[in-house]
Amino acid sequence: MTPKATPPKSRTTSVFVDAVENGRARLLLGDDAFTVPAALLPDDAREGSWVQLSAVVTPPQADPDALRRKLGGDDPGGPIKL
Amino acid sequence: MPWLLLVAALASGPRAGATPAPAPVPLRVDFVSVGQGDAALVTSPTGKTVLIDGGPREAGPALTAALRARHVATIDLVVLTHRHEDHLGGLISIVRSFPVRMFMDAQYRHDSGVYQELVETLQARKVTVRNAERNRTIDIGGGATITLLSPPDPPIAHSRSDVNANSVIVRLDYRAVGVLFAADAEPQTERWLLASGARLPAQVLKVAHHGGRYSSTAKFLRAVSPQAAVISVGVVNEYGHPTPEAIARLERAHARVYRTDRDGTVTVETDGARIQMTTANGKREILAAAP
Repeated sequence: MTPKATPPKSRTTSVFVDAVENGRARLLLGDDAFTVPAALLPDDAREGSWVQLSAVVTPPQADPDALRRKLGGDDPGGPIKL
Repeated sequence: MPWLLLVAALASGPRAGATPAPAPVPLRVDFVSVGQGDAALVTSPTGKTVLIDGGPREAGPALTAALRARHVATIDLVVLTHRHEDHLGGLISIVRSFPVRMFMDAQYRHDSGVYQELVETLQARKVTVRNAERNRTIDIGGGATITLLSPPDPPIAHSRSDVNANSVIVRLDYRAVGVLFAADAEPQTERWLLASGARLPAQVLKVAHHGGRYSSTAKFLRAVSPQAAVISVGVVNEYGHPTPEAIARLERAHARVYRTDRDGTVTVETDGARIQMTTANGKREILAAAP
């Protein structure tokens, strides 16, 4: 019996580096063009390079909500007069 | 037909028989051109200032300059409608550049690094933080009031964007004039507002979600019945905003459409009866109450 396929936990895509200008890299993915900070690319990537992009969901890198709740913790509610 | 009539367009100075411009100008709203994002400055009849959203981070310096040009010294209240970067990024510069007396947002989570930076800046600058809750009212002076029509309670789930769908919708009232700030409301938000019994008719509408395809539903526009609709949108955006679909619905609703990408900053001034719309590119139009 063939084991049931599980959804991929990461996705990898090859994109073409069309241009690098003013710290931004224009990448082509099929018909789609989009820019990213050039610093995201490997050091040896140049205009005309093909690069592989991988995406994977990670744990949160920030938790502003706890601080936000603390800052608003003294809110008495109700109408406000400026 | 709504109870207001559009009475003059493209003023080239006062003409005999034309409705005179409102004077003095007690309440003003500037929909600041911040590129792809939202930022609106409300100045009350007593000079209190309320900033609703702050545009994207790259707009921070331009927004700061625009507020300085308006001689803003202190911001009495900042309202963040939701935690997307194109509404909050510019607020970091603002909180660093101006004394801000109070900040308010809804507690719908969206834990980005840019929001973390904003909250840390609020803490460092000792800004009073308040919670945006449905039906909360804010007296901004001179008889002008703000009412929060949302966030929805309970929160909307499973929409295209729940962060947008749970936006804070702000209503500004001054005498007979209403301005509705629809943030990035989704169609579900609009349906929720229609069912909530909130007072929706308003002469000026800040169009939802930069003129996105799905918002500004026909039913919602019928309920608001705006004379003027302001779309805050960037010249360059990858979303196709404003969409032809939204523009067509606004035109079918007989709203005069203003766009910050073409008109620059759009300014509303009102004495509580008549409304003057001006744009950075030189348009001036008067909306006036019907007898």
